[in-house]
Amino acid sequence: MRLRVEDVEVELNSRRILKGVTLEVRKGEIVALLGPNGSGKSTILRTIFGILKPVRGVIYLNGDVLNSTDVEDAAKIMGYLPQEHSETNLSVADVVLLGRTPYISINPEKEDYRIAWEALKLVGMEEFAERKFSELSGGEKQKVMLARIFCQETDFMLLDEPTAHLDIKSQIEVLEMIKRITERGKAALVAMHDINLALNFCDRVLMVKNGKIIHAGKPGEIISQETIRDVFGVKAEILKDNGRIFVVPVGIE
Amino acid sequence: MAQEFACCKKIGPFQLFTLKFINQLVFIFSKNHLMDCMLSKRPMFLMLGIGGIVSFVLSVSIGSSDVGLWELMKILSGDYGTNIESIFDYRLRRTILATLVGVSLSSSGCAMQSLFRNPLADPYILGVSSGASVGAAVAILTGHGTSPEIIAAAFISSLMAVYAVYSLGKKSTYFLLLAGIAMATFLSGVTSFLIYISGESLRQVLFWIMGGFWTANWTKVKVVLVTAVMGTAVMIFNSWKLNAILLGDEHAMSVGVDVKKLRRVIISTTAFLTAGAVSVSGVIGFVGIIIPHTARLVFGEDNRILIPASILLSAAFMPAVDVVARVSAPGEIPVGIITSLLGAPFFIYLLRRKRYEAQG
Repeated sequence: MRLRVEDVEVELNSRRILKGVTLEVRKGEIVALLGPNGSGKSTILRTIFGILKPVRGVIYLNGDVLNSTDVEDAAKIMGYLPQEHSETNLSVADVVLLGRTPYISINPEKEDYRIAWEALKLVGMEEFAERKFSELSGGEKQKVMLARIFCQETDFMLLDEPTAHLDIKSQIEVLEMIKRITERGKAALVAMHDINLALNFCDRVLMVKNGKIIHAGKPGEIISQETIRDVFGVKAEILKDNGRIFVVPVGIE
Repeated sequence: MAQEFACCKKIGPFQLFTLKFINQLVFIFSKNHLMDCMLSKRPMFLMLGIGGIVSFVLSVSIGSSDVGLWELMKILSGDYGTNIESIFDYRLRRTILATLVGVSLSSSGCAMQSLFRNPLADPYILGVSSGASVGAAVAILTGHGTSPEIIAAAFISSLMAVYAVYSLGKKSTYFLLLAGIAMATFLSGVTSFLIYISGESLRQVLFWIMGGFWTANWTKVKVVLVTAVMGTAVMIFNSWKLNAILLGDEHAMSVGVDVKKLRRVIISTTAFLTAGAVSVSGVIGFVGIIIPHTARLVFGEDNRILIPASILLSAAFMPAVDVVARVSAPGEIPVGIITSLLGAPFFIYLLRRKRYEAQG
């Protein structure tokens, strides 16, 4: 099980926003996309899912070319979590059930309800099933969204800043859930802003700048004052403790 | 399924289609948990159903003539005079017409509001009503004032208006809404101009624009029956996908909904439904907003429940309003005026009540 993106270029309004992106995500891995705002993290995720069409380059799934011209097919292979969502008064159970949409002809059936319920239990939100989605806190909403992705039953997860706007505890809860799921033989590509969370939860880190991946590797191997300066334009101290790495920004270059 | 109905003799292809449609609906509802959801709201659905029946009976038995419920009983028992029969025939087609127009407007309003994630989206926002008005005005002013001619002209011109709006505003929702507003303004200018230069046939055009059911005939009923049944079927079949769009276009795509395709389907179905309704009854305002909104306040946002609830609610609401239009003044008040006069205050009442509830 392997997702490989090879030399992909994407244009938006005749401006090149991805310039030759190559990356690979393997079974059981969590891979982080780190980079400043507008560097192209979301664009990479959108392109892999098939919302944006590359002008050059190929995406391979298990060695086969992935022609994701159809979002209906893509949704059975990849669970994509966009960064923003609109408010809705749908119940939590209905929002989770939406993850079954690729398998539903007209309306969800009993089996879909069962799978959605399992997904809700997995994220520990079954007590909220009847609540309105709009009434939940940010952290609760994000867990419900993860449950929605889980019940899509896909091998790959593409998550666009799943920890944005969350308090520390919720951030860790959400990332641990993603970790639990990937350990069951799935893989996740996660766009993130919090460098330290990424370093401690992800197996590999891809550092994105100006539509290119400029550094890639295991957290311990690629994080240094130089790479942080390269990507974020920030001066940072790197602290190491028991094999854990912490980046502390101290000023602007 | 065809064999099941084949035993019924004298059944036309149209009735067969309707029966198949109902059968399909029952099949879908019984196959999944939707039935459970609906059963949990059973008292309210039951009330809507009873409301619809009461409203239907009222509408058939109340009118400006003295013929009432007692005479209706006589007709049903086979003891009646031809005069009475013709009165009931008229009231029956008028009631059916009102129901179907209400169903068309409310189900398309419901779908549009979900599609645009905006509770104020109106089925007329695509320029249907102004397009139909121009068509009807042209037909009346050029001396083609018979009912089928006006229906055809209004239907075709409203579809043309929607097509123009859609081609202009394909790019995004904002473009679409702006194109709709621009087109409506332009076309109502055209209509006003036509009325202005026309002189004496003005009253007929004006009455047509205000909307009403007093010209009900069986041709009109047939036209709107076709559009209403087919259109609402499409809306009901797409109700789950409309749920997906409530979270945002990109979320809908992420669960495999082809948003562009869905938008095309819903917009063209809305055009078809509202063109059917407007071409037989003129422009009846506010129904497409107030009915789905009332249903939304009571039944929530799930389109699987909301669309059927809106359909039932409009079936109860529209004939009742038409009764008011018939008896409130000597002669007749256009029903569009009544919907606005009754609808707006009721709507405000609902909103206020809801807000107080939310504040505890």
